[in-house]
Amino acid sequence: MGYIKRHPIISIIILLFITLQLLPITIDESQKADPVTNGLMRLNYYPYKAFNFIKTRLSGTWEDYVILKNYKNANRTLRDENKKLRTEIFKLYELKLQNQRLKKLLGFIQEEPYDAVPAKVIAGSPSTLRSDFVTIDKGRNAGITVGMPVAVQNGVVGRIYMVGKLSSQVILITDPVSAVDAIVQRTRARGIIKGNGNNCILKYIEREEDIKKGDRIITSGKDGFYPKGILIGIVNKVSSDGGMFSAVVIPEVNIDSLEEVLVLTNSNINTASEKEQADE
Amino acid sequence: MNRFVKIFLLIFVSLVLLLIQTTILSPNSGSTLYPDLNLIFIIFLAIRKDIPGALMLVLLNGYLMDATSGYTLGVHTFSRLITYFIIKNSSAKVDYENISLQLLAYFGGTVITWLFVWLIFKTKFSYEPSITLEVIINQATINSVVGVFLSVLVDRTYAKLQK
Repeated sequence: MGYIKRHPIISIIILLFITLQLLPITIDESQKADPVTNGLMRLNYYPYKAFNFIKTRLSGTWEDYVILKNYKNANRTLRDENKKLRTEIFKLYELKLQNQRLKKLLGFIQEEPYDAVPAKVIAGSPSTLRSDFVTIDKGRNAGITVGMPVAVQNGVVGRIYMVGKLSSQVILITDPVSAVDAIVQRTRARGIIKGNGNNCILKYIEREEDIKKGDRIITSGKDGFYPKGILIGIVNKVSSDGGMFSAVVIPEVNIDSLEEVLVLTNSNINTASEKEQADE
Repeated sequence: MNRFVKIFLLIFVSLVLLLIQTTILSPNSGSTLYPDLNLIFIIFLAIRKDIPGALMLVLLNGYLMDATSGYTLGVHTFSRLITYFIIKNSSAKVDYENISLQLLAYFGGTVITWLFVWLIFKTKFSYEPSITLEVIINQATINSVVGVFLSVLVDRTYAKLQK
């Protein structure tokens, strides 16, 4: 401390130099939890759960007070029904398009269902620098591993970044480090979805491809992480990006107010890669 | 109060602040209306002269931020450590008992931290953080108001406990 006090500017320059040398060049999409971080995740788990419990209870009481119970129940039923119908419509549309393509190809694809672990979002990121992170209340004990896709009923949320024994961190699709191989549902034009902090950008779309505002973007299933056909978002703006197109995509899921998510533990992708490994 | 009890208490405070920061005050995408309690605490440690184990607490707090926001290897730790050193050094010449100077320390500390973060990203990573000058100024203003308020609160509580 004595040297730092006598030569503050030199000390800070040295510290900055060391910092730049120590930091990795790239930030990965997944991370192995070191023992200290593991301990920290475990230490925070129960306070997070307790806080979440209190928050849920308080908001529930408030809702009961404000909304008449009958209206609340009716509203809930209608919302659930609406959600189901929207999901159904989306699935049917996807199936219709798939059916048309398959008829042309005279082949078929055997779809396997997803195995999903439901989880509650118990905390967010503390940093403004990287706010596209959430903590969920399921970890290794629930069979979760790094890289597993995370979704909700109406779209992709992100994927597992770090796993602890009881909880896991999820990197959201809006994070700048996140990348998802995606296709335009209508035209099957392919691109990569990258986060920009608030929304997503669909990059690297060939000039000759057809994409317009309002198009639905879904996962292509070719990145080895996300299963095919999950909704990501809706195209809001298309612009020219060098020799290619890029598009601003508004995520279908309200990323800022996530409460419950599904971790897809046995998606088609996982099954396919397991089969490939078995074949080898 | 015993030195070790003080350090233990401050570690506990660090964890409580982190808990608040990740739950009630978690900054959603693009939001700037929340104070950065972790950074406020680090600047608080820098402007005070009588806090035992302050350097260790700064490292711990930086690490806590990194571990819970996806930068395990230290963007927060190092940028906050540098901010701590700068303010700590200035405290030899500046009297931070003065409220307006405290405001300046919290404001300047936040700006310096973000400046170093920006510098680290610019020289090291392939993308820039989605932080604009407006976000930095907003965050610095909120941090300075909340920081001074908490400082006064801590001082008054401590004075009452001493009696």
